[in-house]
Amino acid sequence: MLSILLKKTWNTFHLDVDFTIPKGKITILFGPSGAGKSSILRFISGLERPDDGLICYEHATWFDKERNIHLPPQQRAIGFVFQDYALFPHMTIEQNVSYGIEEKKNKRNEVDKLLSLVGLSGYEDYYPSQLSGGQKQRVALIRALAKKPDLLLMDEPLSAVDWETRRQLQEDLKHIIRSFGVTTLYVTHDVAEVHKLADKVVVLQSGKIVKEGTPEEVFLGKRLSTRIQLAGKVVGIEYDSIMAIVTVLHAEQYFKTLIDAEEVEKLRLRIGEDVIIGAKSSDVVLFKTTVSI
Amino acid sequence: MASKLKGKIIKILPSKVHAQIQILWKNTPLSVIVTKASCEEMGLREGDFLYVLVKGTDVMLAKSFSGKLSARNRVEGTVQHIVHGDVLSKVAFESQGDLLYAIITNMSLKEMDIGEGDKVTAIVKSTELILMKGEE
Repeated sequence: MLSILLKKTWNTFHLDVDFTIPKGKITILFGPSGAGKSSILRFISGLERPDDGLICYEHATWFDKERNIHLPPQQRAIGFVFQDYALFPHMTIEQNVSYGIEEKKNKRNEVDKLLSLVGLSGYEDYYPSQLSGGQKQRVALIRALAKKPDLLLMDEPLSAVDWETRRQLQEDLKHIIRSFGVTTLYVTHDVAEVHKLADKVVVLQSGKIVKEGTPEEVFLGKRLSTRIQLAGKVVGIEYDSIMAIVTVLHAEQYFKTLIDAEEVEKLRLRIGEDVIIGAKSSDVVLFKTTVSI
Repeated sequence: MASKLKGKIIKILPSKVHAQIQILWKNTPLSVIVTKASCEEMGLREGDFLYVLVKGTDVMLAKSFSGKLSARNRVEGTVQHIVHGDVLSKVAFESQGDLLYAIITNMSLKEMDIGEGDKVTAIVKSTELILMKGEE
């Protein structure tokens, strides 16, 4: 477990957070731009120093203001994945990935294994400029994991790729991170991403934690009586006279919902918006998909 | 349009799987069926204030209603305005100071000869209503 207690003041902005990241799980730091999410990552990684606080990973202390401990980034065993990939442009994909591998023996085998894990076998001699955004981010991820870090920090890693690629990458990231069992702190402001990836979510607003828990507890919670509550993204709005068909994408499935057109305007629903579909369990019909012969 | 009616829980009748929540919305009693799990997770207690969500497509309208009907929720109202669509129309009606909506077919609207100022009875089954806690 990583425990984080941080305080920092910049002019009028105060960051004051206290939370934990469970070992081997994906924790998402969620909040609007300017809430302090990326600053927290910089403090955890050791790139910046907070005014006060305590950061401990298991029994190791990475930062302790009182005892004047501030381990440099290279001593914190952290893998970092950025939004802009941060691959070395002059190195091939193989060189980029092997850069993260410390052992000299079997380096090539290790690179092959990692590339195959993200479906990039055969791309060893390519340069980053020859890859798509999604492929670059896969390379950035395995380069970070190649170091076998204790903690993986991901700062809005999918915000630079198109929407369709993002969807596919979310699946891949989840699978890869889980298979490595690495403790992960992931920053995003996309609710659908939270539901897809997070074991735990910490909601940050103006430098303070306002909510934390599982995505269900934080976003769906206990406000509505509907048993069916699905978090998704609006991907289509089609007006038909006084009604509107709002298409919501949830877990690779499209749900068409019939809403009063006036309500679409009242809620200011737009394409790309995160929403929750609520439906009563008594309003569904079930059909058997098996065919009896 | 979903209407939000603010009411107070006056009785909770739990069973093994479901709970019938009786709510007083102004002077009108409403009945809502939720699962027992929802009731527990929402922490519903007698005396709590919450919102009852009524979807316009779940509302049935009657004029000069008489006779027996199994639906628990009946609300008397006066038609304020009607928005005509291609196949469906939205009837907005006022009841106890709140505006509610019913989405009905143009055929029904015509057959029932519903117009502004008409008295109507809105009917909704207990299983169709949704409860919401907290802010609007």
